[in-house]
Amino acid sequence: MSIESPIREPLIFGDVNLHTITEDVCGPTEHKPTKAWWFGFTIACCGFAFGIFCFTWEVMFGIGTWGLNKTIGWGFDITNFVWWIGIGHAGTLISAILLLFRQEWRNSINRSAEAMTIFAVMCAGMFPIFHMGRVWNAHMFLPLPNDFGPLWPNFNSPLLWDVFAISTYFTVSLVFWYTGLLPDLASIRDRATTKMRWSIYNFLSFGWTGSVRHWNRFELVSLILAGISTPLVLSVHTIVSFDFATSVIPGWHTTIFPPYFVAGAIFSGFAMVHTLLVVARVTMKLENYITIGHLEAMAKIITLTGSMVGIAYGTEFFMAWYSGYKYEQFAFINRAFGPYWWAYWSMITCNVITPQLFWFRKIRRSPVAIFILSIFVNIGMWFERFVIIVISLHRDFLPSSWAMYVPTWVEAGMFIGTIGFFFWWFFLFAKFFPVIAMAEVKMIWKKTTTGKPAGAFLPLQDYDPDKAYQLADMNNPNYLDSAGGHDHGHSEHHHTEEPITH
Amino acid sequence: MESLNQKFTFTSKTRNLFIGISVVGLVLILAGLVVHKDQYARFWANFLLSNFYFFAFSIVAVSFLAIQYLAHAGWSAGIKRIPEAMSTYLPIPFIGFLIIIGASFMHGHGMTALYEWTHESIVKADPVLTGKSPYLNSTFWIIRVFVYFAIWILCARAYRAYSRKEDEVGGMEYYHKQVKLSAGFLPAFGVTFCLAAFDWFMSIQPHWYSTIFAVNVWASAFVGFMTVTNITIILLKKNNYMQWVSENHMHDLGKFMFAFSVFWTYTWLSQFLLIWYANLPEETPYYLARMWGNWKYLFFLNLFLNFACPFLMFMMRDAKRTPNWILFVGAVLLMAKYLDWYIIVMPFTAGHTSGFGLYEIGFYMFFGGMFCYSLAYSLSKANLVPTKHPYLIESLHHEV
Repeated sequence: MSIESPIREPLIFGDVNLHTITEDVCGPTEHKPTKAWWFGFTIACCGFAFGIFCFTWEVMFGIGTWGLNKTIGWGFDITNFVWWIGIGHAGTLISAILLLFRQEWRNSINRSAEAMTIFAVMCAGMFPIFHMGRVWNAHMFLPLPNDFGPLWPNFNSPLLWDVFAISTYFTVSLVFWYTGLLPDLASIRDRATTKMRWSIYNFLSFGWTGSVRHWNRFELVSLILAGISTPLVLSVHTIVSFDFATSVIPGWHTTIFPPYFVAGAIFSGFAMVHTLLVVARVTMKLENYITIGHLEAMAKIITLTGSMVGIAYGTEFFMAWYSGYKYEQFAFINRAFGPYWWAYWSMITCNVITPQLFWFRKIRRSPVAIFILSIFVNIGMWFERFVIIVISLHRDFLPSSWAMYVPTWVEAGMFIGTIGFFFWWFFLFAKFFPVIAMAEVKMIWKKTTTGKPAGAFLPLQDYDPDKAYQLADMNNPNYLDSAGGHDHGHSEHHHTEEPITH
Repeated sequence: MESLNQKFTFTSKTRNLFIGISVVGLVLILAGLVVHKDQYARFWANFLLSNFYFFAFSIVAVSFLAIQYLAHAGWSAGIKRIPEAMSTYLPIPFIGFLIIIGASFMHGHGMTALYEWTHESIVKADPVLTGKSPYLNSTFWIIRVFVYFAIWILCARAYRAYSRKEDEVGGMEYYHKQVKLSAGFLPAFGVTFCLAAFDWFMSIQPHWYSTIFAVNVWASAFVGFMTVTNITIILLKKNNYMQWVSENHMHDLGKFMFAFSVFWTYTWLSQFLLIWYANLPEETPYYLARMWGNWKYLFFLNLFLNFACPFLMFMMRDAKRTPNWILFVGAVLLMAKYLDWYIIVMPFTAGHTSGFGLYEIGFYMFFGGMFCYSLAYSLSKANLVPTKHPYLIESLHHEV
C-alpha cells in the first residue's frame, strides 16, 4: 500500500465512512426530487422544446433560414459544434489521462464529467448533421455500399475523418462511462424497496453480483478502455482542428492548431465541469467528496491549459507577422481591429486574462469565484471558435466578396435548444444515476483519510499544509523512520465499516 | 533502510573518463579542421547542434522541477537531485553561444555561417527578410540570448539553492518558495523556450515558418531529459547508490519516455501533415529539402527511431522495469534525438558538405564529456536525496 505525505490534502473530508458514502450517493436517486431540481428541469425542458421547434423550422424551410451567405459558409453551426465537442473533452481526460497520472482526485468527479462528455458530444453532433440541410440523407456520411457507383464519402476530407473520430469517441466514452456505472447501479438495486425499482436497476446493472470474477473483468476492461481513450481524446479535437488547418484560409492554416485545439478543449471542458459541480456539490450535499481541493485542482488545470491557449494565440499572432505573408498578416490585424473586434477582445479577456486570477490561492479555493470565472471561460471559448470561423471567413481574398454575418433567431434558437437538451440529460442523470463513482471513492477512502492529523483540515475551507506539517511532527529528524507506520493507519479513528455489498 | 544521507563520490577514474571524452572530442574537432578543410558552415552547424543538444536536456530539467512543484508530485521527490544537478550545466551552453557570437566578427564564422539573415546584403535584396529584420537582426538576437540565459540560469540556481537550504533547515518555508518560483518560471520558460527554438533553429531557414515548431523541439528535449535521468539513476544504482529508488521510479520515467515519444510524433505529424496537405509554396521548402535526395533516408529513419522504436520497445510493462533494457532503449532514443535535430540544422547550414565525420563525433563528445562531468560533479556536491522534502515519504514508498 502506498503512503501519503501528511501535508497532502485529503480527498474526502468530514465524518465520513463507507456507509455514509453509499447513503450520500444513492440518496438522491431514492428520494423525491427537490423543488430546485424541478425548477431547473422545467427550464431545461423549455429550452429543449424551443430547440426542437427551431430544428424543425430549419428542416422545413432549409438552410436559408440561417444567416449564412456565400462568403461565410460556416457560422453559428460550426462554432457551436466545436464548442460542444470541446466541452466534451474533460470527461475522458479525467477518466483516462488522469488515471494514467494516478491523480486520485479524479475519483469523485469522473462520473459526472464523463456523463457531461456524452451529453456534450450528442449536442455537438446535431450541428453538422443539420447543417446538411437534407438530414434524411445523413447516412451518406458513412461509407455504405450503394448501387450508384463509388462510395459517397470523400476520404481525403477531414470532415469525414471527423465523422469517424467523433463517433468512435462517443462510443468509447459511452462504454467507459457505463462500465464504471455497473457496480454502483448494483448498489442502488440492492437498496431498492420496490420490486419495480429492483428490476429496473438490476437490468441496468447487467445483473451484477459483485463476484470476484466480475470485479476482475471490470478492472481489466476499465484499464483497456483507459488505454484506448487516451489517444482518442487527443485525436478528436486534433481532427476537428484539421477541419480548419488543412485548408489554405489565412487564420485557419497554421501548424499549431492540433495541440492548441486540444488544450482549448480541455480548458473549456474543465470550465463546464466547474460550472456544473460547484452547483451540484452544494445542492446535492456532496461537499465532503467534491471538496475545495478538487475544485482547486481543476482550477489549476484551467490555468495551465488557459496559459497554453494564451501562448498559442501569441505564437499565431507573432508568426503571422514573422511569416511575411500579407494575407496572414491582414487576417490577424483584422481579427483584433476589424469589424468583429469585440468578439476577439471578448475571447482574449475571457480566455487569457480572467483565468490568470486563478494564480491566487484564495480565488482558486472560493467556489463563488470559481463559478464566475468558469462562466467567463465558457463564454470565451465560444468566442474563440466564433473568431476563428467567422472572422477568418468574412474577409475573402477578393474585397468584392467581403461580407458580414448576423445569426438569425433560428440559429440562436438551435443553440439554446442544445443547451436545454444538455441540461435536460444532466438533470435526469443526477436524479436517476449515482453522480459519484461510489466504488472508486470507497477504494481511496482509507488511504486519503488515514495518517492525516485531523486538526489540519477542519473546517472544510481552510486546509493548511503548514499546520499538517507541524501536527505530523515532520520536522522531527526521525520522522521518515517512524512514518512508515502510517500505512497501517490508526484504526481507532475508523468508524464501523459496513459490509461491502457493491 | 539504508541511510538517506548519501553523497555521490566523484572518483578520479570517472573524472578522468569524462575529461578524456571531452579531450578526445577536441582532438577530433582539431583533426576535422584538417580533414574537413574549409567547411566552416559545417563546423559551426555542429557546434550549434551539439551545444543545443545538451543544453536542451538541462533546461528541460529545470522545467521538470517546476512541473513537479506545481503538480504536488510526490513520486519524484527522491530523484529530484538528478534534474537539479543537470541544470548546473546551463552556463556552459551559454558560453557556447558567446563563442558563436564572438566568432561572428570573422566573416563566414559563428552566426554568419549559420544564419542567412545576418548578411545585410541578402536581407536588403529580399523583401521578406527585410520585413522580418526588426526581429531577425544580430543585435536583437544577441540580446535575446542574454535574456534567455539570464532567466534560465538564475532560476536553475535558485532551485538548487532553495533545495539545499531545505536539507539544512527543514520546514515548509523552502518548499513554498520553490512552488512560487515554479509558478513564475514555468510561464517564462514557455515563452523563452519557444522563442529560443525559433531563434536558434527555425531561423536557419529564415523564409520558412511553422507555429508548432517549438513544441516539437520541446517534445524531443523532454524525451531526451527523461532518458538521461533514467540512465543516470540506473548507473547510480549499479554503483550502489540510491538503493531506495526502485523499478517503480524507472517505470514512471519510462512511461514519460514512451508517452512523450508519442507526443513528439503527434507534433511531428501536425507539422508535416498540415504543410503537406495545404501545399503552400511558403511552407513546403522545408520538406522539399528533406524528403528528396539522400536526406530522405535520414528523414524516414528519424521517424523510425523516434517513434517506432520507443513505441514498440517500450510498450510492455516489463520493458519499462528492466534496467538493462531501459539502457538500450535510452541509447536508441539519445541517438534519435540527435538525428531529429541534425535534420533540422544541417540541410541549410552544412548543406552538401554535411555527413557523419570528425566534426559530428568530435563536437558530440566534446560537449557530452562536459555535460557528464558537470552532472557528476554537481551530484557529488549535494546529498543524493532531498532529505527534508515534505513529499519525500511518498517517493520512498512509491509503488506503481
